[in-house]
Amino acid sequence: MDVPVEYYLALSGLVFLIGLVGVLVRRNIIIILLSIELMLNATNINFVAFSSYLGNLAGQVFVFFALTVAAAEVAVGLAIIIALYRHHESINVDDFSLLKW
Amino acid sequence: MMTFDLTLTGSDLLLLAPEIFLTIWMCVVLIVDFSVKNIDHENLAYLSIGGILTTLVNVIWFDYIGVHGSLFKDMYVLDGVAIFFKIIILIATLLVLLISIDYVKKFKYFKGEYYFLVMMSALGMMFMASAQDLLSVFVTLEFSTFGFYVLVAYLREDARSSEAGLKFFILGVFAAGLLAYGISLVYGETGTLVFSEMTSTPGSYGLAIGFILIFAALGFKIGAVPFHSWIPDTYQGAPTPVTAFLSIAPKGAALAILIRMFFVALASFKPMWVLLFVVASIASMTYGNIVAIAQTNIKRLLAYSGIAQIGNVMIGMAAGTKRGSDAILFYLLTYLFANLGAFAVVIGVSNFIKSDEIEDYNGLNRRSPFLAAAMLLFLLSLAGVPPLAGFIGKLYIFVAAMEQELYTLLIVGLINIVISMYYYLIVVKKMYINEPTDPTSITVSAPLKTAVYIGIAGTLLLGIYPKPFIDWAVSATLMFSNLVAPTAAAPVLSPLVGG
Amino acid sequence: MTVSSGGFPWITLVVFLPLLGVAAILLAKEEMAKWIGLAASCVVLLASLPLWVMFNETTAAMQFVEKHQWIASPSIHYAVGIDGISLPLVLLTTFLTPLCVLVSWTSIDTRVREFMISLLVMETATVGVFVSLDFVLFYIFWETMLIPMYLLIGIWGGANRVYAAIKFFLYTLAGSVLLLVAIIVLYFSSGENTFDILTLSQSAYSPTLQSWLFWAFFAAFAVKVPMFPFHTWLPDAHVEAPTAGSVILASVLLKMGTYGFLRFSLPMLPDASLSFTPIIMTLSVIAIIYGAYMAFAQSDLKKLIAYSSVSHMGFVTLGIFAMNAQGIEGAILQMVNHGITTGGLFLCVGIIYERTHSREIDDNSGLAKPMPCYATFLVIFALSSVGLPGMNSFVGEFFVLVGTFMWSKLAATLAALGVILAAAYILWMLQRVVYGVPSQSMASKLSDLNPREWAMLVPLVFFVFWIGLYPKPLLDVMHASVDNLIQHEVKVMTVDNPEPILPATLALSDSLSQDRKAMLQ
Repeated sequence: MDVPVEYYLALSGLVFLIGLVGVLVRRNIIIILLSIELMLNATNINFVAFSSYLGNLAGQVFVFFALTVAAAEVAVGLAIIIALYRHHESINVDDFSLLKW
Repeated sequence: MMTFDLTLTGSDLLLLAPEIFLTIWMCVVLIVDFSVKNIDHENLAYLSIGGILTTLVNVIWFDYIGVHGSLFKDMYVLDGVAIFFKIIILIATLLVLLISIDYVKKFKYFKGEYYFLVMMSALGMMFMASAQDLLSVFVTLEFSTFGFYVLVAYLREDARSSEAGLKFFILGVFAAGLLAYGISLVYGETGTLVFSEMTSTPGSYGLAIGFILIFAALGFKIGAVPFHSWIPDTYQGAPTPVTAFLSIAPKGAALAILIRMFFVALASFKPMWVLLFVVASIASMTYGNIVAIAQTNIKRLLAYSGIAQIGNVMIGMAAGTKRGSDAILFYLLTYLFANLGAFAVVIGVSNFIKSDEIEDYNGLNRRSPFLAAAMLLFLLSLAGVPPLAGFIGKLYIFVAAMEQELYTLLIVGLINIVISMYYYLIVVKKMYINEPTDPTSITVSAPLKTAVYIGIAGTLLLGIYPKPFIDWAVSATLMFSNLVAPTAAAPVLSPLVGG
Repeated sequence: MTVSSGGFPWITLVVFLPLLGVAAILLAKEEMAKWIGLAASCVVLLASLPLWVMFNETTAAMQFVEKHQWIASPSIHYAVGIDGISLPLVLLTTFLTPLCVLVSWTSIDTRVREFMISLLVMETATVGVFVSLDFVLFYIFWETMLIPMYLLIGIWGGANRVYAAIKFFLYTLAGSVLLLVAIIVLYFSSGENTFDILTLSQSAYSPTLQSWLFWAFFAAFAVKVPMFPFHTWLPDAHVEAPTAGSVILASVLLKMGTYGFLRFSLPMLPDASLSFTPIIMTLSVIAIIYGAYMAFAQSDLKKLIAYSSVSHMGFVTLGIFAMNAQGIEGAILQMVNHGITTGGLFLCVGIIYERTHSREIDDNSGLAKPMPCYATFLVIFALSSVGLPGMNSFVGEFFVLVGTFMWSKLAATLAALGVILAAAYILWMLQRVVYGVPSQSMASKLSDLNPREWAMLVPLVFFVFWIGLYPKPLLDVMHASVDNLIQHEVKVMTVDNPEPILPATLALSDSLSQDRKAMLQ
């Protein structure tokens, strides 16, 4: 059976919002990183849904790139977090206050 | 039908020659660093500079003989605008490499990789300048930013650098999330990712939200208010050459995308997005300048002044005309020399006195008349004092705004010149009027001196003989002359003139 | 409407020669700086003389014109030329700069190189302002001048110099950004898309637009003059500036404001100038009286002269906006006179300050005995400032008063009151400084003039008497240009616009426009 494209949109919107709120509210860097992943995955849902709805492959191509970018982001991000952890022994953003923020 | 075909010939790939060369060259630098034992890292720097110079010559040659075209189903385009921005990015990279040489000596580890990463970011930004499709916008933007994430956090021993890196990273990926989601909405509404195919799309809420999200993400990159919060911290914490790089090159590349997106894809919605830029411009100029007054650290001061400068650039976006785009291009050129020059001086001073506090610039004129005079020129150019480059840039921007009747923007812009003058003058005062606490004279290394001289030459040349550069900007944006027709000045001004 | 220079770019030479001097100073040793500065400024003076010698007095057209395209779109030119209004001011600038170098010979002992560079850059910028025929070029010179002046006050000034320098800078900058708006508006609204000053002067603008532009111009020029409510930066700047800075400031910079009124406000915005005349006249009269009144209260010599400048510049604006031949010629003459007289007074103060390190009248009293020659010069300049017949200021003030009298008897009467006040405060100052009881602590420091100081003061005294006794050569130079300006105004008054645009609410005059029209026809 066919699921209307609006349902996918609603799902992705919800996932995106959860991610957005997570970035803004949570203080643990790992959780923030995960929230950002949620935002990117919401994007992927959108692209796949639109791609099938529009009968156009470009959306699915984009998903592959988005996945790659997300993976690279996590790799770089974790490296930075480790570097910072060595200084602060903490992964809570509230503890990083050398700069004025 | 779901089909996706791609054809490529050798002559098509010629368009990519500068990028391909740079890719190979940066790998060469990395390999040399690994394989040659005990290599002097200064030589690696010169190797990188050679590569960038060759690429620059290549791009300029392409511009000269007029190599234009597009690749990969219009995802990659080489036109006047792309070439202009590539040249800006390459000059910025060149200057950044020059001012890095002394700074890199302070690093404990990974000296060679630094040059690799700088070139990698430059490569990403060169692709950004050519992006004419939302997929390539996304990929190239992330590509160039990855390099910067690492560069900002490069000083592992310095907690501030790591912290700046983290802040930059979180907001950067957050912006990437917004960008991707915005792109997905635009894709859903228009069924395409290519800018030029979007021109005839009817407006809708999905499209509007999508573009606002994309605008926000690019706003992060150029540091426009209200997306500026990472700028001061990142600028302060990052290694100063990286700050210098960040302050111009990504802004230029993101502006290339903004110009293409709004002037091409959204040309028919101009009445709607003009307001967006007017508000962002006023907010950036005013906020940047007012907060800059209170700064005690020169890097933070330049960070806030950069926010204000972007506000000025967005006046040109708000004008939304051919002249507006000319003005943006020329303004960026003037900003490139003045801003990188100022950072070169900051590095020269901080290499010697190990401080970026404005207090420590007291009596700089006594300690190094050369650096003080150079800084004076750069700050005055940033403030827009004639006969320096910045004045012509601002004049051009204001003319474009006036042509479009953006009086509010114009007045705010002019008030901001006065405000900005105030904090630039405070620095000038410290350098020239105050007496130094420590009168030892400051020595400047040859590469740094070269960078400062290039900055001075650019600032003076663009101010005194701007004609060829303006002509160049005008011809680079020829593609916009039919897309955004400037409204004739006379009828609009008629309420004031007529009668 | 231009006359070619016949090839040789004299003006460019005068404008940019000082920069050549700057380059030489940068390359030479620090000890050589003042010699090079003196040589450069003297060469510039010599180079400016041909402008006068070859000047054609019979035409109102621009002469020695050079025009080269600088930027294609928007079209900006490097266009320079002089007429009878700008020539006297150019000569005044080139004449005073060597004197400024001389007065700083021993008093400036730190960072001499930077000082001389600032002075020479100032000279380029000020001459550039007076010769520009392109509005953007004008603005560039106009703004460029701020930086060296800021440094002159800020580095070599008195105790409170930083405050004075920043105040000066921001005040004038705030005024001139509005000028920039006006320039850009003119570019589009003339319908010609040009910044050419002569073309812009030929175009007609709607009365509403004119009034907006008038106030934008006013903001820039009135701050510079300075006119009454905008004058507060002047005493601060003067008091803190080194002597050379004060001389440049008083003698040349202030003239840029009044020159702006003459060159731009009157020809480009005739309707607005006409309708706002009462306001400007009122402000001028207030400046004359207020300046004189404030001068009374000063115990600091420089401040006294600074306030007297406010008063004297009031005469200049009064003359300009009287808008008749007498008034405007008197105003131009008064601009030159003020440059010479006030320049001379500031030099005198500088000379005594070098000896006593005080500008207080009480510390410098009774100089007639120990320094008879100095006292003589001081008296000459002071009396010239009062406007004693036979001296330069008398001619200028007389013309201005005659011109004003035709416009309004009341204004002329009040302005004449200013002359009387000036006599009072100047004579009171003279009485104390020249004939007062010498202060004991200073006695040992009071040596009379040395040859260098003679060399500075004698040329000025020469001009004081020359213009006072035989002003004809100077007046001849400006006749044609002033007539042309007046013709332009008359055309507006009689043909284009028989009624004033705005009700002349602030009119001082009992019989405002009738008198004036009758005069002019």
